[in-house]
Amino acid sequence: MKLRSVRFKVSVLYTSVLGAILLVYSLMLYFNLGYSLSRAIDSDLRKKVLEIEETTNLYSQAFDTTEEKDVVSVRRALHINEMADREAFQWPSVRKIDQSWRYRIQALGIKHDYVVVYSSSGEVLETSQNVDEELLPILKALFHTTLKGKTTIRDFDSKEYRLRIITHPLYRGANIRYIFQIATPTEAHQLLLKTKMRLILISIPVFLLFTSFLGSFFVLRVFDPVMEITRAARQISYRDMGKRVELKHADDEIKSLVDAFNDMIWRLEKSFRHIDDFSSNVAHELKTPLAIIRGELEVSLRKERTAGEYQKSIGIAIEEVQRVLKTINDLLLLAKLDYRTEVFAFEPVELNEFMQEIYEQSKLIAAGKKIEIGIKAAEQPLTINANKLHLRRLFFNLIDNAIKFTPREGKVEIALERRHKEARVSVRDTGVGIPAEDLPRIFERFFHVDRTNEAPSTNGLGLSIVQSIAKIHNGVVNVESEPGKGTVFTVSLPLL
Amino acid sequence: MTTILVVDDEERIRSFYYRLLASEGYRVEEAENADEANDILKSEPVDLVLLDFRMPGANGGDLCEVIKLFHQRVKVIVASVYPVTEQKKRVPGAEEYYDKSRGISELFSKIKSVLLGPELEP
Ligand SMILES: Nc1ncnc2c1ncn2[C@@H]1O[C@H](COP(=O)(O)OP(=O)(O)OP(=O)(O)O)[C@@H](O)[C@H]1O
Ligand SMILES: [Mg+2]
Repeated sequence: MKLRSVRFKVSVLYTSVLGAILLVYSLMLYFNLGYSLSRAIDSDLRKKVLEIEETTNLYSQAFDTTEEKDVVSVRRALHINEMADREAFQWPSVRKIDQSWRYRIQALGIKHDYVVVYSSSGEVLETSQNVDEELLPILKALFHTTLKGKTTIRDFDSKEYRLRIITHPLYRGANIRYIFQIATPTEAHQLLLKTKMRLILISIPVFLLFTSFLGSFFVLRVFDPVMEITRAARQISYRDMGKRVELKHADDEIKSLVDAFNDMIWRLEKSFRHIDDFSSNVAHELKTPLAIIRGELEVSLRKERTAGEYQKSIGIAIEEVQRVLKTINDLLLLAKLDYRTEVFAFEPVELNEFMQEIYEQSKLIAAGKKIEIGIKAAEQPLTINANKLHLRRLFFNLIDNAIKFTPREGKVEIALERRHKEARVSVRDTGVGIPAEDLPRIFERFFHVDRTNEAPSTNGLGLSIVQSIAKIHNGVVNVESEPGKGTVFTVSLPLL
Repeated sequence: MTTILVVDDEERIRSFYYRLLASEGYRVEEAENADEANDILKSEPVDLVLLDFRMPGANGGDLCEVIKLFHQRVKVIVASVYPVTEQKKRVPGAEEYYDKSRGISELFSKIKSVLLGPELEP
């Protein structure tokens, strides 16, 4: 797996996110556990201290002792378990307290706790049996640094002891009589927390390792189609555009990617074919006249010919040269119209006037074929923003076609009108018309409908030029035609 | 007399080849599309077809197949302005291919060698 691969990035990303979540969550649980544990210890400690206090009080009442001798009650409360029966009182009330206290002490689990009782002045009055020489000074030191007026709880940590300690005063009236100190070992809890921590520290990496492995496997599955697309893309070349990506079980997102990809190949294939056709057409259109010229010249050289034959050959050669020039000029114009529109200068042009001029010139051409040409101007002025040179070319091409494809003594009519915010100029003829199946193709470059008896000097670029010129004027060209009856081309141009 | 049929949709090409071949002593027939060519092939004794394949309607390739099926005796030279390699791709099965821009002496030598036929050569 490469470092820069999406797969790597995705697995790093989600592994770290998952790791962070797991870590935060575990730590939360951990600290919550610690907190709950100390809460539990605290409430235990409070219960213990209160019960000892209560028992002490009960003994005091039973003994009915003076305040100074309260210490007897304290001692009894602390040491009840070690006391043999000989110390048992025959007093039924004391025995009763003894009994229930023994039982309570069991339930409270005071056995493992260290208890120290101080006088109000801070002297140690009594300790439980397990408080030894070593521990007592520690507890005393702690006691002296503790606030004495009320119940407090604190921790103590050292190498030997881990303790949680409650300090609790026993009041007689407004005065403090004794102060109880109970220290409970917390090793068990600490141990519990420690094992939990260890569990967390071990389990998280294991978890992450496992999920990152699983995850990268899934990512691989998700990226399968991408690999497929890559493979297909590699195989597609100019020579073999037929290839497509086929995915049987693609998800929606991937499917739309695949569709877009296939679509793009299809469009590329189409434009490649277009370029192919176009250059093949150009070659044909330029090489044909050159082949004829070469042939005529070679024929002339081959043997002695008559003057008439030479003249004919030269005439044909000149005609073909003109065709080559026309094709080249048309192609250059088309290229300019398509790719260099910014070089054209536009100016306001009044169409009625403009078409009148074109009409006058067309009359001369039409007269040669005895075609009657007419013009119908619009009632209102039609001013558009136009490049005069090219606009003239547009209409001459249309009129040239109209005359070319109309038999002798036919009619051609130019008509202008205003439609909403458009000027419409139509060129109508009574000519041969265009078969319906060819109509969609007549604006294509080099397309000419095959007809035998037409003037031969066509290369099929005329209408392409018409359309390109209309386009730079933000106009459109429409055509309607009925074979045998005639054709009408309508150019719509936006008014100024 | 040897008859050559020129099949080409462009009148000016046909007329050029007509004059050229006629002045060399061949009898020349003209057809502007595959259908016309087919009609002539059925009614006239044609020895050789000079065939352009870029034509509207049925193209030269189709016509060449028809000739090879029904008029085996007739030889075909494909003649167009495309390079010979491309011609071969588009119209396989012709005897010879001629690039129209190559000049007339090449055309004549190809016509002669095709008419003689490899088997008749000494
Ligand atoms: N007014 C018309 N009547 C009938 N057919 C038309 C008319 N105008 C165009 N066409 C058909 O559309 C084809 C394309 O026209 P276009 O002007 O692009 O080419 P062309 O006139 O053949 O050649 P060029 O204009 O380059 O000399 C023509 O060959 C012709 O068959
Ligand atoms: Mg035209």
